[in-house]
Amino acid sequence: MSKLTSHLFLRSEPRINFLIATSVASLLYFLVLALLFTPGTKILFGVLILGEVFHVWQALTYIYTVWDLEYQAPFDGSFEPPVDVFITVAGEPVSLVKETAQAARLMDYPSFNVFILNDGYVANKDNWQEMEKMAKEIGVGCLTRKVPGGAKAGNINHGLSLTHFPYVAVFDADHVPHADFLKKTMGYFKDAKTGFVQTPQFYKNAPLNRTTRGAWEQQELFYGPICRGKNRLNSATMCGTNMVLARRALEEVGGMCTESIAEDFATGLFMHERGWKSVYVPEVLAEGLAPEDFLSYYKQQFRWARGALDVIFKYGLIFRKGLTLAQKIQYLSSASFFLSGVVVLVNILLPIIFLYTGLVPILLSGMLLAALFLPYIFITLYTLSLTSNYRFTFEALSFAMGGFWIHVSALWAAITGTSKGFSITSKTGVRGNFPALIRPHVVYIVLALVGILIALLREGFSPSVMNNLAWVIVNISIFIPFMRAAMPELDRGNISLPVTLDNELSYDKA
Amino acid sequence: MNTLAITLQKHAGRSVVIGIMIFALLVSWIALMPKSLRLDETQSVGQTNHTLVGTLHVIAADVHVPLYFVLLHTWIMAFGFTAGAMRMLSLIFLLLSFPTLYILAKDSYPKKIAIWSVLLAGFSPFLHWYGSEARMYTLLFLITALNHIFFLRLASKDKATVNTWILYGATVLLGAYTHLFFGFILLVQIAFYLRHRPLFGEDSMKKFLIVAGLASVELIGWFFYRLLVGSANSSPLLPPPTTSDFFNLFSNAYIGLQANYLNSFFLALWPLFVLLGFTLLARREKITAHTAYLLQSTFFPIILAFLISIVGKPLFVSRYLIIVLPSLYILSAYLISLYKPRTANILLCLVLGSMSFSLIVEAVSPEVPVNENYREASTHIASAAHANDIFVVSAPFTTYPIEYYYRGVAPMVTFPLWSRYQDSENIPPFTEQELIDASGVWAENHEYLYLLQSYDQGYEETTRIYFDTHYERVSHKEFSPGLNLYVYKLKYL
Repeated sequence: MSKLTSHLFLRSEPRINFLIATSVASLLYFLVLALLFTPGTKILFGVLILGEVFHVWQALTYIYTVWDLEYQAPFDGSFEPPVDVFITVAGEPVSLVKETAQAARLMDYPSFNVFILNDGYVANKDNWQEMEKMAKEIGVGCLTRKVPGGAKAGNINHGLSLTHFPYVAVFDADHVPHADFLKKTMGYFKDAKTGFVQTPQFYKNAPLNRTTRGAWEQQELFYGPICRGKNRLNSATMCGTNMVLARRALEEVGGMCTESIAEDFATGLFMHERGWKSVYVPEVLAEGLAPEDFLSYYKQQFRWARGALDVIFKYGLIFRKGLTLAQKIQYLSSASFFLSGVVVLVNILLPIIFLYTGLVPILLSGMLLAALFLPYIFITLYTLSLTSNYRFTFEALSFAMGGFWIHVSALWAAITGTSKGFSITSKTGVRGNFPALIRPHVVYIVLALVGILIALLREGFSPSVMNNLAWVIVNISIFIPFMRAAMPELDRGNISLPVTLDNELSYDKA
Repeated sequence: MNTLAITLQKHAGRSVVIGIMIFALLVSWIALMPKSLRLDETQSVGQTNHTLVGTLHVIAADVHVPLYFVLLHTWIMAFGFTAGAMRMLSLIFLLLSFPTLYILAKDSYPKKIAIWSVLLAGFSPFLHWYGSEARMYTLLFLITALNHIFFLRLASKDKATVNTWILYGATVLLGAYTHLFFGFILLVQIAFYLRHRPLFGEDSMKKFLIVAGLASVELIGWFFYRLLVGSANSSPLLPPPTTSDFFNLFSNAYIGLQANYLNSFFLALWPLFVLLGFTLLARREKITAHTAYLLQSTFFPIILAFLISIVGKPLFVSRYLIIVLPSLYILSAYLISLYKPRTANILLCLVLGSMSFSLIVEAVSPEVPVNENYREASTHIASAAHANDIFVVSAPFTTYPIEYYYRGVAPMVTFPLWSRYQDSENIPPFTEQELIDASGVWAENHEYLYLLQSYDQGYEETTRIYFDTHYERVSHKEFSPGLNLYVYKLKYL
C-alpha cells in the first residue's frame, strides 16, 4: 500500500445533502416500520423495532459526528516544551522495540527523553533483560517494572512516577513514530487546557493477510471521519498509542485508569469530565502493526468491546457529570457501537425463525418493505462511502458484522462483571486456523440449511421462503470474509488442522 | 498470442454486436414474430391505416405523439399490413440499438463493459418482446440511447463540436415526438447540466436553450393540433401503481414479461441486491460524472413516473419506461465489472443465463401475461359461431385486434356498445342498465352469445356474473392470460 493511497481515509469531505438524505431515510424507514406496518408475532416485532431504534441512533450520531470535518484546534508551532516519550513493552521482540525506540530517539524536537517502559519482567517474558541491554546500546532509558498490576496502564503510571517532563508521548512497542511526530502535536498544548492529543493508529502491515486488511479497513472509518468529527466536538477518543498527554491532566485523574480493560478510553473520559480538552490530529505520524493472526485480532476486539461496554455498565456513563452533551453523545455513540453484536444476532435470527416456524415480525404484501429498505440502505451505504472517502469496504463490514459474537460475549461479560468472556481451546500457537472462533457462524449456516429444508417442505418455493432464503444468503455472504480470515490455512488451500491446546485469553495485553 | 486471437480481440466489440444482432433477428423471426397481434399493435394498424393526414388526425385524438406512426404509415405503404411486415420496423430499431448501446457504453467505460452492456441488452427478453411488437418502444429505446451519446459528448469539451450539438438537438426533437416519457430524460439532463455545468462549454447554456426552444415549439405545435382535433377516450384505464409495479420494471428488464409466480419468485430475492450494494463497497470506486448521469437516467424517470402516478394521473407503464433501459444495462455491466475478474465473469454468466432462460420461457410459455392470443380466439369464434349468434367483445377497445383477425358470420358488437366509426374515439362508460337492455335485445334476436373478455376496465366480473345468473353458460375457454371466452345459450329455438 503506498503512502498516498493508505492515507486517503483522512481526506473525506461530507456532502451535507447526503447526510440529510440519510437522516431522513433512516428516520422515515423506522417510523413507517414502527407505525404503519402490521405487526406479525408481537415479540419478534418488538425485537425488530428495538433493533431499528439502535440503527437510527447509530445513523444519527454518525451523521452528527461527521457533519463538519474541517475543524482545526489552535496550533502554535513555537510551543516546544520538554517531553517524556514512553514506549510500552511487554515481551515484544527486541528488534521490533528497537526500531520504535530508534525512530523515537531520532525525532526532530528540541527537548525529549525516550524511555522503554519494560513490563517484560512482570509479564514473565524471557527477553526483559535483553530489552534493557538494547536500550543501553541505543542510548534510551529503560524503566523495568518489578511490581505487577494494572497492565499497560500500570506500566505507564510506573513510568510517570520516575520521570518529570510536563508532557508524555506514548507509543506501543510496534508503533514507529515519524520524525515530525512531536513537532506536529506539541503545538496544540499551547492551550493550557489541552489534556491530550491523539493521532491515527495506522497499520502499515495492512496488506499482509485477510486479518490485517480487515482490521485496518475497520479502523479507517474510525480514524478517518469519526475521529475528525469528534475533534470538532472536543471528544477525541484516547487510543493508548501515538498520543501525547499533559502530565498535569493525567495526574488530576489519578494517572492512567488501571481498573478498566480499555484504560485509554476510560482515561480520556475522565479527563474530559474534568474539563480537559482533546485534539485529534488527522495525519499519520506513527506507523504500527495490526494483529497478524485472527486470535490476536479477536482478543483485541474483545478487549475494546469489553472496555467500552464497561464505560456504560460499570462506570454508568449516562449518569456521570462533567461532560458536555456533545461529549456524552460521542462517548455513548462510541461505546454503544459494541452493542451492535446483539442487534446483528437478532437480525440474522429473524429469517431463521421464519424458516423453522413461519413466524414473522411484520405482515407484508407486495414490495413495500423493499421500496422502503432499498433506498434507505443504498443512501446510507453511499453516505458511508462518501464520508470515508470511499475507504469503507465490504471486508470492513464483514469484520464489523462477523464479529457479532465477540460483542455479545463482551456484553455478557460486562453485564455479569466476569473477568473473561470466553476461552479458546483450539488453536496452534498464534498461527493456523481458529475454527472455535467462528463456531457461531458455522452453527448459523447449519441452522439455515436445515431451516430451508423445513420451510420448503412446509410451503414450497413461496415468495416468503425465497425472501427469507435471500436474507440468509446475504447474512452468510457477509460472514464469509470474516470466516476466511479465521481459517487462513484453508484459505490458501493448504489445509492443516490445528492442534488442540488449552489457552485461555488474558486481557492484560492485546 | 496468434494472429487469429489478436484479430478476434481487436474486433471483439464489433463481433459481439453483429452476433447479437443476428441472434435478435433469429429470436424474433423464429419465436416472437409469429405470435398473434396484440391490442396495442392492432391499434397501431387502426391508427395508421389512413392517409398521412388521416393518420395524424387519429394519432392526435389519442395519447401518443406522431413520429412512430408516421414512420409505420410509410412502412406499411411500402411493405403491407401483415403482422410480420409491421413488426419488422420495430425489429430494425432494435437491431440498430445494439451498436448504439455499444458506442454509448464505450464512450464512458472500457470496451469490456461496452461488450457486456450489449450482451445484457441482447439477451433481454423485454427488449426482444418489443422488438417484435408494432409499437414505438424500440424506437424510443434507440433514440434515448442516441440522445445519451450526444449529451454525454457535450459534457466533454473536446467532443462538443457543432455536429454533436446538431445531432443532440435532432435526437431531442425526435425523442419528443416518439414518446412523452422521453421528457423524463430531458429533465434528468437539465438537472445534470445544472449540477455539472463546468463540464460543458462556455456557451452551452445558450445552445441548450435553443434546443429547448425548438423542442417546445415542436411540442406546442402538436398539442395545439390535438386541441383542434379534440382528444378522445379510447385508451385503457390504468390503476395507480403499487410498489410491486415499481419493482416489476426491474424484473421486466432482466427476466422479461413473465407469469406472476415467476415474477414473484424473482422479486422475492430482492435482499440479494442489498448484498450487491454491500459488496460493491469493496471496490472503492468514486462515482464519475458519466456514472452519475447514467444512475440518474435510470432511477429518476422511474421515481418521477411513480410519484406522478400516485399523486396525479396513473401513467406508470413498464414499457413506457423503456427509456431507462440503455442506462440500466450499461450500469449493470459496469457494476458487474467492479468485481474481481473471476467473480465478475461468473456473475455475468449467471445473469446472462437467467436472462436466456427467461427469454425462452417468454417466447414459448402460454402463461406469459402479455400474450394476447386474439388470433386464436377470433379463429375459434369464427368457426364455432353461426349467423344467428352474437359475438360480444369487452372491453370495447379490444375490438381492434378482433377486427383484424375475425372473419366469422356472427355479428360482432362491443360492450359497452361502441361504434368507433360513429362515436369517434370516445368509448361510452359502463352502466348496468345498458347491460340489462342490451342483453335483452340480444336474447330476443340471437341463439348463442359469445362473450370475449379482456382488459378488465372494472366491469368484467359484473358483466360475466350477470350473464351467468340470467343465461345458461355452455362453455368457457381461456386463450391467453386474461383473454376469456364465455359462451351462453340465450334461447332455445
